[in-house]
Amino acid sequence: MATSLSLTEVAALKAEISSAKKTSMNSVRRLLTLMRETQRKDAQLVSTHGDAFLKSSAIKPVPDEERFLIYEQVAIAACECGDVEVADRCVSRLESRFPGSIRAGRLRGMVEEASGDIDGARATYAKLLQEHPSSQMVLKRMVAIERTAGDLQSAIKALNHFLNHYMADADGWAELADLYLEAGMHKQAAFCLEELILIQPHTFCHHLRLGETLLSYATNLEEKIVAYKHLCTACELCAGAHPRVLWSLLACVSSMASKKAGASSSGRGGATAAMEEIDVNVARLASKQLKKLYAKADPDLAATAQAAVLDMLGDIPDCLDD
Amino acid sequence: MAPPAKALFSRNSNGSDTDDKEFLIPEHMQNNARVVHWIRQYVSIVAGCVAGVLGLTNVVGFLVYPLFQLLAILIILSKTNSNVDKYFMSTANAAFGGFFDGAMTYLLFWTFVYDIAHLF
Amino acid sequence: MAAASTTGASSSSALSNSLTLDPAIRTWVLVPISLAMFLIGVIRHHASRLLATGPRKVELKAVRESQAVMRASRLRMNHAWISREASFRMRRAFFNDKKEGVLQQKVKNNNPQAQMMSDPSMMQDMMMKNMSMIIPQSLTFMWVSFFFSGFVMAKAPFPLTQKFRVMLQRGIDISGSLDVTYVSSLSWYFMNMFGMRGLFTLTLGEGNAIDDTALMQQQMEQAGAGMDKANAFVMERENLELIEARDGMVYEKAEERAAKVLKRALRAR
Repeated sequence: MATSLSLTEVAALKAEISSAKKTSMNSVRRLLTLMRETQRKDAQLVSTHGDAFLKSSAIKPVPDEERFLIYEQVAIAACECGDVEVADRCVSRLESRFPGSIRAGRLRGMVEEASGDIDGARATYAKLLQEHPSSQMVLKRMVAIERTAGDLQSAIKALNHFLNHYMADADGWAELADLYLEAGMHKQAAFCLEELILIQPHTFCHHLRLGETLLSYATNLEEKIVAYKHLCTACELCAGAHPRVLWSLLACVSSMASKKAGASSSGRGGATAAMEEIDVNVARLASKQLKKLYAKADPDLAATAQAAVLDMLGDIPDCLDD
Repeated sequence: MAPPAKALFSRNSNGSDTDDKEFLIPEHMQNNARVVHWIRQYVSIVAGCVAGVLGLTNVVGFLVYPLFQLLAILIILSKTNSNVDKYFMSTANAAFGGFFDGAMTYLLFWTFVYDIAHLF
Repeated sequence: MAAASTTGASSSSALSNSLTLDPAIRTWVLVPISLAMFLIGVIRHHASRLLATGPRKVELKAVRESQAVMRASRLRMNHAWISREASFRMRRAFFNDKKEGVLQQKVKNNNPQAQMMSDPSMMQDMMMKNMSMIIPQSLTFMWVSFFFSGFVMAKAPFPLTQKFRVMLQRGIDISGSLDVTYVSSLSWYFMNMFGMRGLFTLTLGEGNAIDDTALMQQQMEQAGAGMDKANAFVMERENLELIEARDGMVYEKAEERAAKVLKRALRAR
């Protein structure tokens, strides 16, 4: 797990390795271990230096367990930055040591993807899926490959199939929300974000994204109020410390108060009805907090920010105090 | 398998005091529990050896065990810099949970060392 | 080996205290038994790791069912965070709907015992675990009772009642007059068996294969009620029905809480 101690060590090692003329193999090995533990990624660094490490004599005393983990790590990094030759070499080594292993098979598929052979990769994964029909690893690759190929609809379909079975995968729901947003299907994206909230209710960014998504396709007051509630929750969870949350909140209030807002389904219409539903105090406090944050972090921008807030909330009575 | 990391990890990610909600990291809690368990076992073994060497029997011997467990608790307290809440769910749980975990180990080592030192 | 039965004890007083035993017993009985049990434990641990079968293949449908139960219970736990009308109702329908609800579907009752009979690899796994536990224990027991019986081996430094005499002094012929705390090798074997667990945790790390208590608990659980999917479905279904149609508390008071948090943030430096 990523404790702050190990993160600082990672940063220090990275700086040392990138700047040194002759890199120390011990540092490289230590960095690779730390990156595995803390799950930090830096594809180019791992690929180049990892490859050098594997070729050097420093690989000999490394115990088997660690050695093959390093092979896997370097292979994945090489695939990510396109060093196909490096990746191929690592994966062949793994395949010869672990024949028939599903982990090695997935890596082989990734190498094929990286080298552009999409159909070959698809065939590899299909074969793996036949032997291990419930493997999460392979199902995820099926989604990734469609995304690589640029086929949004198939990716969505594949991810839906995956999530239909592994319903607890938070990352999967987040990815599906991204895909839907890319495809412009806001309502479905909102559904995915709600699932995310059910899995991780205390994470403020889920509420933030949900609020923003709802706001972007809301047409009547009820829907905007739902968005507003979620943005309030996001604000509470982040203790009012993130400007983006505050901006979204103000945008939502502004949208609700706008005279152009559509009449709500229950017949009441217009700005005054909206203002009855919500507590203007929140918007006022949010604008004050924004002012404070900008004054602390970036005073030059403060004036522009203030103007924007005025623009959004100026029409609403009691919203701003000076 | 390697022994658990000897460090205690703080139980939530942000050290801020203004949060009402506490977000616990389960891996850290598990790690802390493992470390405490490890300390208790180790102390039990040491306690057993001490009691055996000193030739204590009966009631006195039984007293040594809680004595050493209290020592273990002191060690844990000092490691957490008296801020037990940051590392464990509750002070009582950290101090006294699993108090008798090492009892059998203690008995074993006590008998073993006692017999080697005093009986033969 | 120490097959001699009565050479060890030479008593200096008629009754209990201060028996002095031959040092040969210490070197050839006390230490070897402990050492042997420790080493056997280590070997068992490594052997079980080597022989462990890989991860079992799970059926995709089974995955879906168990995940559905978890998802339903999560919905029940966290429903307060999302809106009532669209979201919760829709999801409840997804689970409970008479015709198509996920939790309404007939599920194969996966009784672990039935599963054990049908799935050879799981059966093999169970057998391996049992064998690795029972065989070394019984072998060691027989070895100790055959070679090291009939003499006093150790003194327990803690007091014992007379009831223990039968168990702990088995095979020793001086009955009635000898202090109960003088025990035979068999009792040393038992003491080792219980006490070594802590030592194994230290040396072999967590998750070692020696922790018999965990294994026995697991077996008892399996013999009782297995993960009964049909029951779980019914339970979750009913729980979802019970949730009232009222906005979740978090959702309702979101504004007030946001206002409170913002006020606090503004007050802080």
